Amino acid sequence: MERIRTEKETLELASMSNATPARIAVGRAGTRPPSSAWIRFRHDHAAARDAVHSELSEEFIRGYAHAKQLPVVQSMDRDRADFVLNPPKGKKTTDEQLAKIREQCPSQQDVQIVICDGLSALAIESNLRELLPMLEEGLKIQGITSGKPVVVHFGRVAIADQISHALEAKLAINLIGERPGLSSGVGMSAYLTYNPGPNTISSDRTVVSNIHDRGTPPVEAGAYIVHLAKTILDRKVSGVELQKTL
Amino acid sequence: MTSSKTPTSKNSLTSVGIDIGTTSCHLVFSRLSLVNEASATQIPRLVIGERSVLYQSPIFFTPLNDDGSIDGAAVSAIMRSEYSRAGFTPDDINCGAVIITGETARLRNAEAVLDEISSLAGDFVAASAGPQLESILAGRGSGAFQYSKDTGKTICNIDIGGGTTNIAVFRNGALVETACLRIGARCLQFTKQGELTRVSAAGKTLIDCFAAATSTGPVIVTGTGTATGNGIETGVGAGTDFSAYTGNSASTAAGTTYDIRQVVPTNTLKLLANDIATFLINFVATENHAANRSYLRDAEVSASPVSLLPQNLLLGDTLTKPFSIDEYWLSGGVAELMNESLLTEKSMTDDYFRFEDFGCYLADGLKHSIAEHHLPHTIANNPIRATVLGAGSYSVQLSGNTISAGVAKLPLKGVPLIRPFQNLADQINPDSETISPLLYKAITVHCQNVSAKSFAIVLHLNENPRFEALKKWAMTLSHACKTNNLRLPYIIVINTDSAMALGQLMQGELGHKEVIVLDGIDLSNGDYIDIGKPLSNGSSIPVTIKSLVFSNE
Repeated sequence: MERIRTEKETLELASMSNATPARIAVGRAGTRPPSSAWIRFRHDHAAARDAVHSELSEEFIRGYAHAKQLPVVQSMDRDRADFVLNPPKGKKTTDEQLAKIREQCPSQQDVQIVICDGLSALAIESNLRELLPMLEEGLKIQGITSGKPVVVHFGRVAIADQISHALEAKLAINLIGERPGLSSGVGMSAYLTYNPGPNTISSDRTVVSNIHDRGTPPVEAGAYIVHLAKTILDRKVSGVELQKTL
Repeated sequence: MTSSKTPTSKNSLTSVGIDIGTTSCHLVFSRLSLVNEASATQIPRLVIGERSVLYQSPIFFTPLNDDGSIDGAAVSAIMRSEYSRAGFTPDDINCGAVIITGETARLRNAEAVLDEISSLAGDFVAASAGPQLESILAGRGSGAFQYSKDTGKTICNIDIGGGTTNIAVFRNGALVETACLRIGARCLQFTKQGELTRVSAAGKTLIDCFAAATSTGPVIVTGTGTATGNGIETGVGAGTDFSAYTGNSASTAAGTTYDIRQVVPTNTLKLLANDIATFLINFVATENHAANRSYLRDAEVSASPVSLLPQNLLLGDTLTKPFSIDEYWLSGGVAELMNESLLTEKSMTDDYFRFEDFGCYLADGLKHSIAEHHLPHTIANNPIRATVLGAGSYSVQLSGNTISAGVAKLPLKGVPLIRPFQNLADQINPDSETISPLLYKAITVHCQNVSAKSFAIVLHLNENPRFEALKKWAMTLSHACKTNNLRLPYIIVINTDSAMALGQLMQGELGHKEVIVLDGIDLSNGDYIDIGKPLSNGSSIPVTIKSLVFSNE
């Protein structure tokens, strides 16, 4: 028997819906979801696909990276399609690119920041401008030295190990676009690796995920990464081993 | 980014609730387990998970001095023995609350009593929560809050104790409003034989109030002209045939005065109890939408007493918001008595004065009034312990997990919350010329000597601040705290998820770490904050928000 929701049910459903980004309580039209819910689903799915194929925009590279005189390099991947199809190539860059980085960046710092488009360049564009100033200023206040952040086209998580190792930094911080989901295409993660290098494995990394306006706000995430960086440098360990000491 | 939930954190808090009421006092120990709700890759999010009761003390009569004030030493002795009976020492206790309630006469020495038991309370236990929070705690402890959350219903919890009635309305698991009335079992006191011994100021007010408002109902007024000033007089209002209650149709006397040591007829007491109960129910219901209070139209009392509610019956603010109550929950000592069978001729003369107060009559009056109005109602599982269970389990909140605690020595207790920047919620470019004087003004309302004690500055922003705005706030707040010579550590409570960022930036501005910035705390209507020691992993701080410690009167 069809009936209309009572006001109380509407309120209750609203409080449940507000507690999760999942698509609950969307209702139905016959045997299918209502058009509005279906269109929203298609929209979010399209946004996620767009995010995967997005590249750091000309505006970002010129207006932000170049303006801040950040070196911009590229992984072994030729283009976005190559990046998506060949994950290992995104984890390394060429010797020429490394030489360029060595030329432009101070070495032997406490922290090396690497900025990668990863699986969502949009994530970098929407969060970095808020997060990076907090991160850089916070590190300075804590007396932690950090050189010049490096921007990487078609970069994956591990590329920060190679770059930071080349610059002899104690701690690599990779700010990278997350694999988009249906609730957010603009989520960013930060991977922190103590003593990064060729032998680094995934369990050596400490990660902070879900950085975006509706998750952990980028400014607060910046401060939290500063806090983590200080803890990691104090304890000289990151990843699973760090977790054990907490 | 997907990952499974991390296992439950091994952390837990041991909490104590101590309730020192007008008539009875008791305590309860609870364990609050801490659970990390965030997935492994996210910033930890500690919340209080399960709450379990470890020990409940028996109910003791509150020991009193000859002058009617609370005997602090005796209360302390009771609590001390209960601690050892339960196997706890003050060092075992992480949080909780001591609540002292009751009429003004007994609260004269409340501060002194708190001093007596503070050594028992452990490091971080809030002392007296204030009437608003007590109402909330009773509603939490009775189960009304959880029921409202589970069912989505609007529930009114009425906690009636010896001295006060605490009212809290919850809708769909959220607090709608609270109120507190000075109505309780001790508005009239008797000997065990039923001789009147005392009428409280509130009791006198109530009786006068009914006399003024009622044109058809029974009238009981206190004898204003009696020498003792404490007598109770049953009189006749305009058009009232009092003989209906005395059983003596010939009686047309202008009034019968009952003095101290006299026995008041049972029927008179019964009618007074009914009036008080109806008054209480109407007080809550009158604020409803017109459609939801149809029964009021049928009420015997033609002029609603609520319209004449004397201010001295009210502790704090009255109910103002519109709501329609689905169910009434009853707790407190009087609700405990409602579980007993209805008044019989025999019990009236025997048991009804065993607590030497009006509680049994009031319980019957409430049962009567509720039945008469067909109000859906539930008596709490453990009525008399509702407040203490609430105090033990719900008085503490955990701050957000990205906060900045600097190097300050914690705990800090009873820090006044000040709200100097209430009109600046959307300010993204604050300047010192505005901020500094506002801060000075807000503090000097509390005390002339700005450096005399710590203050917690509330910063309420409309949205998560962007970096530039937050940096400006950090600069101006640091400057304002410094130029106004505030006591260290500086304490900021911010509503947005920005505490760690603001804290780091302020440390940078100030060049030292004596700054505490907290977020993720529900401050609604709070006047004071207790800030506990950081939890073992340092990511979160337990806090307790209190309203005015002792209401002015």
